[in-house]
Amino acid sequence: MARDPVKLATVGDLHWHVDRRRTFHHHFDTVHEVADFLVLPGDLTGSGLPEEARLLAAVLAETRIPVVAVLGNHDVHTEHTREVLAILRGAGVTVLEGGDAVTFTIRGVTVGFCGVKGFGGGFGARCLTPFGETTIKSFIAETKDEAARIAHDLAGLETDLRIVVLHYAPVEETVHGEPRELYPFLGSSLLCDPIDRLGADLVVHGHAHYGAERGQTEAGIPVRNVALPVLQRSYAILEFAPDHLPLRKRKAG
Amino acid sequence: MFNDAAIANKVREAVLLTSGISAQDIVVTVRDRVVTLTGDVDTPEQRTLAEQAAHGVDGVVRVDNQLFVRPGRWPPVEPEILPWYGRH
Repeated sequence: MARDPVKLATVGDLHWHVDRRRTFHHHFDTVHEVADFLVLPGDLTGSGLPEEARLLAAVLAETRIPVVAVLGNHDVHTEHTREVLAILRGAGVTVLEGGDAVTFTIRGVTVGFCGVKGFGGGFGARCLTPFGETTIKSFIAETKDEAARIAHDLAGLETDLRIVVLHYAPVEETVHGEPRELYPFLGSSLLCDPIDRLGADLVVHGHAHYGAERGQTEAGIPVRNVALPVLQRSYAILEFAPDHLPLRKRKAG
Repeated sequence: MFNDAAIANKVREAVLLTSGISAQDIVVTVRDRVVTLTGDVDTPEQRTLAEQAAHGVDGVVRVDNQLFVRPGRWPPVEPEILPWYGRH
């Protein structure tokens, strides 16, 4: 018997602030009609102020489907991170920080999400290495720590669908369009290493406002940059149709 | 010589006259003759018209169009179907 597809609505970089109250008030009014999950890959707020988080939380609390999110760099900017997290979680939003993967069951299909904010460092052969000044070592150590959290979560996530949520980009392909000088600050391929090693079905991220929407990892896992300025639509709908495609062996961990 | 403040005034006037955008919905900033448009508009056409109007002002070297089309007027969301390989 054919199974219904699983659908995600996803959009990043809402940058919710007081002036946008009118613009976004009805943004997610009908999302439950078109998706099973709403996924928000970071920069939920303008600058991480509790008031901004409260405005967004009030809208998300009315959403009739599970909401899964990670924070972005804007959400930690004013260092109210704990309060922002508490406000969003109080509204029922699952905000992932690594080490806290979640599983949902929808129409008999298990769907697992893991996520972290991520960090920068650059891509491929030009990726920053922990050499020289302490500040450089600290910078790349943060990215490696985020990657380790992804590895930990993916290793334990035994679900039919496995979705990784990041704010920073894990591949260069989806930051194409941005100035090249910014690439090291938009993401890092270090974030992609555990994803290709342990397998996943989808990675969504934001942060690269002038990047490209579609890319993939070296192993062929779809990567979608769903930053709102990239989408220029309310959200992307990503649909997994299980009965029409062949099975694949995941790469051994 | 071109002055950023003067360019901003001319851009603001040109945008409001040609695109039908209300003044409260758009912010025009100019730095080194580069115009940035921010705010929220009702239609994709207004977004394009605003950018074209800004380009048409003497002294403008580039326009960074950061205008958002209000979600209610955005194109319908069409799903993208992704492969689902399933568990091994």
